[in-house]
Amino acid sequence: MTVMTEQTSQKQAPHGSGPVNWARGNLFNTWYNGLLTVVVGAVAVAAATGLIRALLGFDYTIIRVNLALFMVGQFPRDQLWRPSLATVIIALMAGIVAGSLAASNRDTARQAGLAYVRPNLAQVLRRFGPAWVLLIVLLAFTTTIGPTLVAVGALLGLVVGRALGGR
Amino acid sequence: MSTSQAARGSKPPFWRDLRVIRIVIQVLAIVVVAVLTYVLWFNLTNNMKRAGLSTSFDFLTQPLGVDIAGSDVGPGSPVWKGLLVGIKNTLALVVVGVPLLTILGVVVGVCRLSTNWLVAKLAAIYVEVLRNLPPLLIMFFAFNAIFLRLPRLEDSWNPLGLMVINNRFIAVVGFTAQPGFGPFWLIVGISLLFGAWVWIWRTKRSERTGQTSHRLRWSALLVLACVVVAFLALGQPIGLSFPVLDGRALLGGYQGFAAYFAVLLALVLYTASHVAEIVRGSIQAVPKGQTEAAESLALTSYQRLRFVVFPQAMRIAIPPTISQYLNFTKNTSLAIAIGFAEVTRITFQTIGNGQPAPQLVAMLMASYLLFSLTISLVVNIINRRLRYMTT
Repeated sequence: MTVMTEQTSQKQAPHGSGPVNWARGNLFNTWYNGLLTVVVGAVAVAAATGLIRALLGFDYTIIRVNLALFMVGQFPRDQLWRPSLATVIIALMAGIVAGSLAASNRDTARQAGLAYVRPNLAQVLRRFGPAWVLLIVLLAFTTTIGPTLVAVGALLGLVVGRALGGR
Repeated sequence: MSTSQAARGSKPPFWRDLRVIRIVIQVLAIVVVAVLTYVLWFNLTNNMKRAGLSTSFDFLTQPLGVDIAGSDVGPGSPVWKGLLVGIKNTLALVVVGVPLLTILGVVVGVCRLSTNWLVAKLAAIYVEVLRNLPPLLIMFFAFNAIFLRLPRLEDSWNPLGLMVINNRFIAVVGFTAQPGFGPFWLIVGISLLFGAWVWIWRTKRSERTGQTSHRLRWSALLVLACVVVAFLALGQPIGLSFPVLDGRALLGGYQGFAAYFAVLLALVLYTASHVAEIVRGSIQAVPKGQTEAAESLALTSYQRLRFVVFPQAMRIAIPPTISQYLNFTKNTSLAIAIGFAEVTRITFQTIGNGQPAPQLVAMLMASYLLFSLTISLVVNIINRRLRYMTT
């Protein structure tokens, strides 16, 4: 998602590529931009440190104790394998859909003569970044192995489905 | 089909004649609305009569039964006084909040498009976080995590003796009326009119002669000079009253309750994030040719923004911003969850004390309607002058 600015493009690095030159071009290109970067950066760093320190310092016992209630309500605990199985099956189907979409994209590209680049693992992981954070945070609050198994099963379902659908 | 019949010279049957159908549908619509209204009204009044509830507005002079903090309305005051205090509190929120949220929204919206990567990203984070949280949650957070964490009344902060800050209220220096207060404001009003006349004169002169009008500095300096002279000549008709804590009471100064500031902070932040997106969208909606033409005229980035892009962008931004103002006004009813005595809370408290609910809720709806329609009307006057007309 590119951010459009008044100028037609972000300034290209005047002296070459690399993080220092990127900073020169985007953070310190004018004197007021440099000042703004320093001031706003200091405020942002202070706020972020305070926020992280506070978040880590809270007492999360109540979430850990009640996590099952938050996640599945008052579903009878001995029947939980049913929604877990349903999650894995849905993940499988979602993977198949994703795989077939990717396959049709690939075929269209081939027909049009364009190059089709398969996204590598890092790109896929990065795209779903917030979902990974949510998953890891939720799993960190669990006390049994069950939810982790369900999560692993759902991920496997996604991967297998993608492979199946992509053929 | 009707064309061949028209060619034959005869009219279509009345159930296919467009003129008849139009009239019949309109009459039917009126009849349906009238019948529905009558049924609902009859249902309401019938049920109220059967339950023994009165349908009159006599309850307005009954005693309120509760205390409203921060005003001189007590359990013995009539209901209408309590409702008036509620309306005053809601107006205090709206009148202070709308300018604040406009400024903040425009600033954040422009920052979102900055060339400084850090500023742009931080503005994006602000907008994304605050747009996607429910305003009630932001209000809870502002009240419980920010304003209730201020020190207790006994240990109030007292910076420079000018403010008193604690977790119940925030008090600032106030103004008192000394002798000569009335004449002073009269003179201020007259000098403002004078300043407006000077503004118009300088503008006309500039149009006639082509010289820069300098109208702002002429009229501002004139008004300032008149005000200062009047102030000194009348012997300082405005005095300062410093907020002083006397035990548990506050003497002097203006105070606002913590709940008021919490509601203000939460709703200004929330609505400003929406306005920021509107501003960003409207700046990007200005045709790129304008920016390129301004660049080719060697205008600086600031001049481009202020003289070319912004005027056109604000025209586009006004109608959606009106809805955001109305959203702000209606969201103030969420303050009931924090206990701020605005009109919704007082209405429901009065209902809880046994006053008839249908009339009270109808009055509540009427007051919100009044606020919203007024804001809409005022901003639409501005909109009508500035909107994009295709020749």
